Amino acid sequence: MLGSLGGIISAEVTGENCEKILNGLKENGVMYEYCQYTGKSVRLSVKRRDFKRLCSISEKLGMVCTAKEKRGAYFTAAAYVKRVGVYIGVICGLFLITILSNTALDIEIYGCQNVSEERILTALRNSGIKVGTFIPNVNLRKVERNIAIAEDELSWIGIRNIGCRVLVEVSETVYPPESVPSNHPCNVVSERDAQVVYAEVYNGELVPMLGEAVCRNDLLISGTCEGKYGNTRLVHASGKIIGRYTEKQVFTQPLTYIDRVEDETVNIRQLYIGGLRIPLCGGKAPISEDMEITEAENPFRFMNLTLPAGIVVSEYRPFHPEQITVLPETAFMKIEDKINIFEQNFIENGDVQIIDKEIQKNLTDTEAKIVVKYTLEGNIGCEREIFSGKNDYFFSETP
Amino acid sequence: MGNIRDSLSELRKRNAYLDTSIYISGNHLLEIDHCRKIIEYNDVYVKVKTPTVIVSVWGSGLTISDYNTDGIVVNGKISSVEFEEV
Repeated sequence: MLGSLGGIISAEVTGENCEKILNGLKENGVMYEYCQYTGKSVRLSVKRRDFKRLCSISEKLGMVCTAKEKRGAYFTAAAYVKRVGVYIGVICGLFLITILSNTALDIEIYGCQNVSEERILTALRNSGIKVGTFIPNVNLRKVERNIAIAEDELSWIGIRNIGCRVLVEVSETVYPPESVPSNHPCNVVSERDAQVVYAEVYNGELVPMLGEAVCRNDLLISGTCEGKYGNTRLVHASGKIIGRYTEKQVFTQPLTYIDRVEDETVNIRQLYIGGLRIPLCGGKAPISEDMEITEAENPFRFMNLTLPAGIVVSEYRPFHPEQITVLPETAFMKIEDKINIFEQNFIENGDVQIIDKEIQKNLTDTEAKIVVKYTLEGNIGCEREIFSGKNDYFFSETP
Repeated sequence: MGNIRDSLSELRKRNAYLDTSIYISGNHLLEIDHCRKIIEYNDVYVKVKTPTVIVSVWGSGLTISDYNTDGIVVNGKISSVEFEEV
């Protein structure tokens, strides 16, 4: 390749002893390519800028040089020099690139866990950042400060843009868990009425004996300890007191009830470009009061880059209320399912053990009812500050 | 004395890579380094002078490319290569 960008001229040099021109080109440092012998002439390719030198060398040697073919980007571009439309197209292209690369077409939020994206998008919209905003008109640092002040649940927010994409990175506030600081004097009191079956005291003095019954708010481990010489000192009482207690749960299931029944799912495709959505031919969105909508964005990709355009598939799942009547056996089965879910979520999930379970079934004309009386074993102690006022053990109101 | 000068000259050429080197790829490409002059050229015959040897290439449809690197590239259907002392 002789640098086809700059242009290549295929020339024909006619004259006696064609070797002379080749040696002349070598002596003058002119590069040539594909020199081909065609009887009384040679045909060779030279760079556009070397063509004049080729002509002058040929003339000196008494030969005639003529250009036969011109190729390369230079000559291709030269053919369009006088076309006004090309200039208008280039200017429009540059203008569009400048405008689109400074316009927010896609807002991406990273780092959200508890705070919803919609909430951050709303905060951004209130600060002037939305799809279609001309980014240089917005002071991103000021927006960051405003949102960080306004949203207590965000500890930090960073906004930057890469072309038309606005990237918002957030860091949520992590609140310390509610507990009595380990250096504050406190007691351990009972959370519920129970019988103490096991005790492990890490700090403080155990008040009830094993096997004794305690009421709610009764002192289990005292943070007020007496020293060897009669002096009193306050400590942060801690320990594990396992108590046995009963808990009653009532589960009901009406024999006739109104349930949500799902209708036919409708998928609708839309083309999105930035914030603009253009519906594509397909179904029509159903109108229903009770409906679940899920959207899946499939962005277009070019050279491993995600473009701010693509296809959105919206799935509409409408529901309608329907009266359902079930047999008593089915109703009891449904209640048993509820009991299983309750035990998995609220009992077995923690460190509470089910010791015994009494089930009592009742059936009326309208509903099925199961009363479950659990006998449970679990930690019944909770820390309570001694001098905290309303949470104070000595002044707390027994409910 | 003449022998010593010749052997020193030979040594210099070898060590400084001034000797002519030729690369042949199949029978369609031939590269000659340190090409001084093209003595004769047509579509069946190329005769090239180098500092140490005169190279004659026989073939058909022979074309020459000179990339200005003190050497030439001969393309075409090469049938024989001959060498002649300068």
